[in-house]
Amino acid sequence: MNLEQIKEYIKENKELSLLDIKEKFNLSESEIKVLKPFLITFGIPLKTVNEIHSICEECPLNNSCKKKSEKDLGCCN
Amino acid sequence: MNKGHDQSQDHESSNTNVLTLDTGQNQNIEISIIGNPNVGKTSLFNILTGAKQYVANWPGVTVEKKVGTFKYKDATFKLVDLPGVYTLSSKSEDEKVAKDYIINKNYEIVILVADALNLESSMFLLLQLLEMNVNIILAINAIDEAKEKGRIIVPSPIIKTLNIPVVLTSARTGEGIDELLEVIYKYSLSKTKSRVKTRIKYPPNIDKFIQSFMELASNYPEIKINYSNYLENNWLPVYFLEFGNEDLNLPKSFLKELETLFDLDNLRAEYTKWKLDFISYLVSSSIINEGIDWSLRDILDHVLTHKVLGILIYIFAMFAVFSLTFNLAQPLSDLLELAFTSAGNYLSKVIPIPWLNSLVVEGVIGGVGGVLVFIPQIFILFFFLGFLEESGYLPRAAFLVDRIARSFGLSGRSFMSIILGFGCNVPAIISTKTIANKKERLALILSLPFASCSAKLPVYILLIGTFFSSNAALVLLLIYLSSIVLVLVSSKFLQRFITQSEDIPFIIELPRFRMPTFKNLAIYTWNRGKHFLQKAGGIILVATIIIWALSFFPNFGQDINSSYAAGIGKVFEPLTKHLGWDWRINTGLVFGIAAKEVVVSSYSTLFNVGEGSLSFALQNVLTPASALALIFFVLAYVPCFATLATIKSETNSWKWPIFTLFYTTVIAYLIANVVFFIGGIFI
Ligand SMILES: Nc1nc2c(ncn2[C@@H]2O[C@H](COP(=O)(O)OP(=O)(O)O)[C@@H](O)[C@H]2O)c(=O)[nH]1
Ligand SMILES: [Mg+2]
Repeated sequence: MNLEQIKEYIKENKELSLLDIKEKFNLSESEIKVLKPFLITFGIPLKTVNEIHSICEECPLNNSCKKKSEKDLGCCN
Repeated sequence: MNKGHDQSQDHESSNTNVLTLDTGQNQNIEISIIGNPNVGKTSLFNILTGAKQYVANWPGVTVEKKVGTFKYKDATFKLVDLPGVYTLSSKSEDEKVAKDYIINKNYEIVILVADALNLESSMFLLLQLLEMNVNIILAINAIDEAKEKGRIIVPSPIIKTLNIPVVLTSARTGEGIDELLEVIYKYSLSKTKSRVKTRIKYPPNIDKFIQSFMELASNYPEIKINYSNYLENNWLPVYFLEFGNEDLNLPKSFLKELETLFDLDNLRAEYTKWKLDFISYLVSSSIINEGIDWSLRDILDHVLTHKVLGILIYIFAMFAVFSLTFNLAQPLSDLLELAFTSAGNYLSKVIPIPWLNSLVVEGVIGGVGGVLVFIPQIFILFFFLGFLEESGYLPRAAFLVDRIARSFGLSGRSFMSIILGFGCNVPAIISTKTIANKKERLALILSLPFASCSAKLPVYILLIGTFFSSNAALVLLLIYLSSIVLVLVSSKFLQRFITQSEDIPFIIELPRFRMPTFKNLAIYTWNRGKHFLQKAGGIILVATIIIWALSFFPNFGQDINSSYAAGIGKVFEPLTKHLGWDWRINTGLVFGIAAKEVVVSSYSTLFNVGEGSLSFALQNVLTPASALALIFFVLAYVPCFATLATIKSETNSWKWPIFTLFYTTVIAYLIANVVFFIGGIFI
């Protein structure tokens, strides 16, 4: 696993999925898992496709949400 | 580092043996849970503390740090749930929170939770914590799933090499929890000094660098003051090597001196290489995969995220969900309708006061009941969507949308907001905070109201059920796909007036497939459905009573066509006549601004019929083409108050909500006309 090469490849291609990298560099499932935190230290953030929240109390932004107090108005109309 | 229980001078050779404990001193021992996202931190936290929390399949639920307490034997523990991270630097908010907590060392031990199926990804954090000289218990969680998939974890190489206690746990089956408690108890109460510290063996060059760095730093008093946390255990040189000077800001003269002594780039590469090798060694010695077919999951992933095939599968999956929803819900919905009609008929006979009779029967039961009959559809739809979401499928679909989004000049983050918007536009708009590019963000905020939120569902279901019942699922699918296209095209369009700036590269990770538990699905469905019920008793009820009053007065229900409600709707008739919408349709749309469900409840009231015949009444007024135009108008027109208020607070200006008001209405009107025209040809 050549970290430098992988780094360059990602910087050139902007938004990739881990699957793309796995295929390009012929890495095993295990190697990809080892690689993840290294990519983060290279300044390449890992964006996990997240849960789809639709209700205030589960909303990831619940704490910063100013609409919360207007519950009856249906804050998440 | 910890107060209270290190008076004893006893020493022990093994880190898991305990000495005599000072009873009475073992109060409020602070420990914390750290680990990668989605490994089961919160699940373990809940088991240990009994705190009730929402548990989901995807990472990122834990944004804030959560605190709980629990007792074990004679000790009470304070447990802190840290956000999910892969490394401890300051590259993201989550990392910053976790790093600051760890570095301040106001705790006794840290439980590093790893996912047995992704143990590899936790090794980096594990080493980093050891480099910071933190007392760690490694909990390898989801061991049930690992066993199922033929993955065997052998903890002894990790225990021996790193000298830390390791427990195999499952938050699902409860396996290993007792052992974890016992280890927490023993390890946190054993005397700090007696714990055998792991010395990490670096290559000689790195050792030399650490030494010189520390010697050099001792000449700089400002380093001693500003980085005291980092200096303990020589973490500063390691951190500097790993993450550079970006968030450290060491003195320039110090850096210059350091650069004359070392080739930092080379050293960094050597350090990284050492770390990679060390982790690879640990991984290969402690994980055994018993000839399982990992490739099946890969193939599945590959197909589902394939550019063309994936989209077809997505469309088919949504179609299947929509058909199931309609078919399963219809009989239940009919039953509810029957119940409301009978209740209405009964009450209309027993209430003698004419206005009260009309208020209760036509207003409340007719209006709110008209919305409530969709309870089965809404709950069943959420149940199936919950299944897609919890199983890990929906994020894959979202990933596809993301690919498309990029060709519309939107960054990877934006598609999340679109999917979020299907639930509710308010959190969707707030979630755009994570988009760095300000102009792109504004374009997206102004386009997100086109994401079809769940409040519009009753309107769709009413109209689809009335006019397109034989193709119900197909029409609903068309609406949702149009909604995505609308958001994308609108953002692209608005961005034309905006210049683009550079974006940074990133990597997209998809959560793994999981069979959702029924309990999780039930919680999911209830949480979403509950909201609908709350609204029915709140804003929908209030709006319906207002509409009833406007239709009842000024002539006491004698002639609805000259009521106040008619007056409101007739203002817009010149604009809507050719679409086949009369004043009643228009009045419903006006009140729908409060909450989209009100469109349905107001039709029940305004058409002045029991629910049994609302469909017939609508069929008398609208043609299928005008109904389809109405559906698309509702999809696109004015967002609700809450959304407008959010746009105001997110853009800090009244200009944009007012713009949205006109923009969405104009677009909705245009679309309605186009749909009516095309619909007139085909239907
Ligand atoms: N099979 C299995 N699933 C688990 C286990 N622990 C957690 N999960 C599931 O993993 C997902 C993420 O758990 P959560 O506690 O939210 O992870 P966190 O992000 O680390 O807080 C949830 O769907 C849990 O139900 C476990 O031991 N076994
Ligand atoms: Mg969590």
